[in-house]
Amino acid sequence: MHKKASNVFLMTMLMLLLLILGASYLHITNGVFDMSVTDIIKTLLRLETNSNFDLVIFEFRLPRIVIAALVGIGLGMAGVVLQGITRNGLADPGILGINAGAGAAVVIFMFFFQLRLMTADMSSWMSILMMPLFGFIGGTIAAILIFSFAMKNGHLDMQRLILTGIAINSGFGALSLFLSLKMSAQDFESAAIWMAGSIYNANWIFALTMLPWLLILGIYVYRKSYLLDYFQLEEDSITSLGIAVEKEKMKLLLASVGLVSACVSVSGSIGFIGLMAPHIAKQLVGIQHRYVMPVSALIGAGLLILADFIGKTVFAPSELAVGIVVSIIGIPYFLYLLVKSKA
Amino acid sequence: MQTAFRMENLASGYEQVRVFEGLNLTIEEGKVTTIIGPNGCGKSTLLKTIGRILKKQQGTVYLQEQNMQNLSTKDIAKKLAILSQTPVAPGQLKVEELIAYGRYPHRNNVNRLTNKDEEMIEWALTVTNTIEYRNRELAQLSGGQRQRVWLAMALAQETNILLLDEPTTYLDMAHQLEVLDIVKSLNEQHACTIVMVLHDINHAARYSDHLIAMRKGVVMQTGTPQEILCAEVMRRVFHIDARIMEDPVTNTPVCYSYDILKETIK
Repeated sequence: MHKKASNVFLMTMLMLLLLILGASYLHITNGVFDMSVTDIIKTLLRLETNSNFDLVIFEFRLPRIVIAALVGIGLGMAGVVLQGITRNGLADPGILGINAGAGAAVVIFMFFFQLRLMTADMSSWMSILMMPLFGFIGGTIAAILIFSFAMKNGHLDMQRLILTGIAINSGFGALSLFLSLKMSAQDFESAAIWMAGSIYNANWIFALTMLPWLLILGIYVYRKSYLLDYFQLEEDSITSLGIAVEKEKMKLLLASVGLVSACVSVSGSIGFIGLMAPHIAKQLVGIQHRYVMPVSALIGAGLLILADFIGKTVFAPSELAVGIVVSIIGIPYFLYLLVKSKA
Repeated sequence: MQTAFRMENLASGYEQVRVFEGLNLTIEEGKVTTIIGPNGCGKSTLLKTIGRILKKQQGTVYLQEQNMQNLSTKDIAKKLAILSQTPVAPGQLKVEELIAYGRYPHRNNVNRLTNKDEEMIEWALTVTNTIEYRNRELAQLSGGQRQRVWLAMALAQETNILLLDEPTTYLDMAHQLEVLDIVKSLNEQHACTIVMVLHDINHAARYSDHLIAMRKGVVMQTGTPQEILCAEVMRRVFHIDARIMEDPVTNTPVCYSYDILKETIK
């Protein structure tokens, strides 16, 4: 029985890796500038150097795929954690306002430092490194606000959590909008695109900045994923087993806020990945979180690469922000979940 | 006789609502002690407080003469297990998997069960008579079966003390006795200290060594079933006029019928 579950897990991981490879293949070969596989392999393996191919692959498409994968992994894992600790299948970084909080912090940062975020060059290394930090602070503030309002007598009240999340979400959303309207036209445009959730200005610096966050926090939440199994019980039973419920929840919450903030700070607010990926993962590998967590991470990565591919090709030459594509797929699914959970 | 619990000046409740205060009480080790009382008397609150599920507001609880405040929650989990009133688990979870959760306080490697873990799970399955549906999902079980599985999870925790919060609620008559018989045998054969909350005073009298009768947050009387199940105590605690006789089979007092005291109806 145990063997079977782990076999299913390995098979699923394999399939997902193939899916990610497939999506990456589509992504890297298609675009304004179509390339053949042989061209790409030759360029990647440095068998043949063509400055045009180099530019398109190394400066545009590859960082974009890498960022999509990293953001997808981060949001996929954070979604599993948030749904686990709230015991609510509708919890998602976006719905809980963590996205909006991190987003508002980044917009404040852009506003006061007049940073042309989207055209970051190497000289602004410091300011780029500041962005995830601001995102993290904003996300944490949002999370603390939500949790302190939703906390009642030491217990998290689910209804209050969702309601507070919605309130915080629109509050921070309004703040972001207000500040971005006061920006110069150029800054406003980049802020607006950024808020819709986009990665088409991805670059290696972004990938490098978020990588350590993702590695450290990702490994941390993966190692703690077994706890999420226990969190499926009600609080009294968990306490009875000798788990320091509030403490562990807080640690996991902080870790997922960190993950989300790192993602939001490079890609803007991409909703629904954190909602969908864990649900799909549970359909595939059951409810053991040490399986759900990595599967959800890969689903997140795959979905985001695919969504970004759709976003850049469907209305080519103009691009659709990946966050919008994800929402178009995500909203019907979200409604479906709502209807189902009513029963 | 060592005490399982000793409470000094204990106060507890929810938010601004104080359910009881200034409570001094001892519960003996190796006995079955049942807390009885009308709705809202604080019996569940008391059980939850000594089981550290609910934070006490004042006072001290000694668990086997150790101040509970100085024990880590994991250490407490090795000494006492609590079966809460309305336990919840995902329906897809298998019986065996849920029972394995009970091993948490003893586990070092979270991904692999040791031989000792397996042994304890087998034992818990056997004692609770749940072995035949060990591979079933929780959603497929009846209420009585599910309650025994929850009991098995608490047993897998390998503790000397077991706290049960209304373990027979929502069960039919046969299943109620089934659960209580398991509890009784745990006490007799494994020297398990049992503290529970029961609504049915006849069950309480039949299965307990000691009764604690509460009303409005106050311990009205403690003693043997014979001392508690008498017309006078029933009048003070439940405000009922109880008609009591002795069950010739179990030799325990039984309240076979009762009336509401007219003067107390408000």
